[in-house]
Amino acid sequence: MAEQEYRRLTRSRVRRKGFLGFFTIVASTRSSLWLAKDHVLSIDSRRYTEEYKRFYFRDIQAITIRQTKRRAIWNFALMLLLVFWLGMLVSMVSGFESDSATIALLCTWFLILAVPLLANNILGPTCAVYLRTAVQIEELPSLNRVRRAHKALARIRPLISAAQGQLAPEEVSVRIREMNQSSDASAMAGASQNARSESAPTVEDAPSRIVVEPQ
Amino acid sequence: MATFSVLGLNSLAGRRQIHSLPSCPKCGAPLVEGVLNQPSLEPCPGCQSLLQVEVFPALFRRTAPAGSGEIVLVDGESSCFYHASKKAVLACQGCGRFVCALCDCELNGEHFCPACLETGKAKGKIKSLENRRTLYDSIALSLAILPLVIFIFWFFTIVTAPMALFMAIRYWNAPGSIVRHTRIRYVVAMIFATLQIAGWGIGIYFLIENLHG
Repeated sequence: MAEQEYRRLTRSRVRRKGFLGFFTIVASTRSSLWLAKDHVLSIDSRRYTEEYKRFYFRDIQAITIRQTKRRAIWNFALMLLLVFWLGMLVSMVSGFESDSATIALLCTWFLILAVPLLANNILGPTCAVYLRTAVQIEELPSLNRVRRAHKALARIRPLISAAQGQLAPEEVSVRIREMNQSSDASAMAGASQNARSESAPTVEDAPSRIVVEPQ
Repeated sequence: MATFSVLGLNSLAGRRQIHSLPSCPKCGAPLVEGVLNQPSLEPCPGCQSLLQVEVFPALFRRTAPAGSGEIVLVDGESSCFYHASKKAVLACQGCGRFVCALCDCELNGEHFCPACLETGKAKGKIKSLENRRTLYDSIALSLAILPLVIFIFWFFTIVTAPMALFMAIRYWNAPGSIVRHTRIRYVVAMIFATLQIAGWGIGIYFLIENLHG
C-alpha cells in the first residue's frame, strides 16, 4: 500500500507541558500539523520517535482559537532584561570603565534580547487552538499565533466543508436551540431516573458476603 | 451514599460532556450563539477571554447506535464467524470471514473483523491505525554525528561509528517518518561512520607501525 501524501500545514513547535515543560529542551516534544486528502495529521515528535493523531475532516466538530497572554508575558520579561542591560551599557559608556571589549559584549547581549522581543511583536498575538471531535478535545500546539491559526483554518475550512457540507450562520442558532432542548429533555429524563433509583439498594445495604447455611 | 445508579450516572455525565455545546477552554462556560462562527475573536461570556469558535455540521450529527446483529432465522443462512447465532452481514476484507453487524468494524470505507483490526494495528498493516514510529535514521545519524559535535566525546566514535553503520544497514528498509520519504539521513550516517571507522583503522595501523618501528 503506497504511503499517503502529506502536505505541511504548520512547522513543528514545542508542546509545552506546564511551566517546566519549556525548560526540558532535550526531552521536549515538538508538534506539527500535516494535511492529507481526508484528514489532518498531528505529529508529536520526540527526536527518535513520532506519534500520530489523525483528525478526519468528516469528524471535526469545532475548532476553537483562544487568545492567550503569552506574548505580553514574554514582552514584559524581555523588556525587563533589556532595561537592565541598557542601564549597564549606559553606565559603562558614560562611567568609569569604558573598556571597548566589555561594551561590545553588552551590545551583543542587547541585540540577543532585542531580536526575540522584536520577533515576538512582529508575529502577533499568541493563542491556543483546540480541535474537537466526538470523542476528544485536542490542543494543537503548533498553532500558537492567531495569524498562523487563521491561515491554517482558512486551508482546513474548505476541506471540512467538502466532507461535511456547509453550515449557514442562521442554521447554527436553530441547531443550537434544538440541541439545548434535547439536552434539557435528557437531563429531565436522567433526573426522573435518579429519583426512581432513590429506593434502589445501595452499596452499604448490600450484604458483605453471601453465607450459605448448612442444612 | 454511593448507590449503584449514581455510579452509572457519573459515567453518563462524562460521556455527555463531549456531546454538549462547545465551551470556553479557559473557564468552561458554554458558548452562546454570538460567539460561534464569527469572523473575528469575540469575548467569552464567562471570562471575557477572546475566542473564535468555528463549528461544523458534525457537532449536530447524531451518531446511529451500533447494530447488535440479527439472529439467524432460516437454517443454512450464513452466520457470523464469532457469533454462530447472528446473521452475517458482510465478509471481513482482511481474512474473508463472515461477520455480523456487531463484529463489523468500518475503517475509512473498509470492513474488518475485530481480530484483523487488532492484527493490522499490531503489525502496522493498516496504515491509518498506525500511531507511532521509531526513527532509526535519526538514531543512526545521531550516533554518527553527535560524538563529533560534542567534541570531548570524540573517542566514543570507536563504538558509535560501527553502531551507526549497523543501524543504517539493518533498518535501511524499515519505515521512517510518515511524512519524510528520503533516506538521506541513513546515507549521511553511513558516510560519517565509514570515515570514522577508516580514521580509527589508519590511526591504529600507524600506532602499531610506530610501536614496531
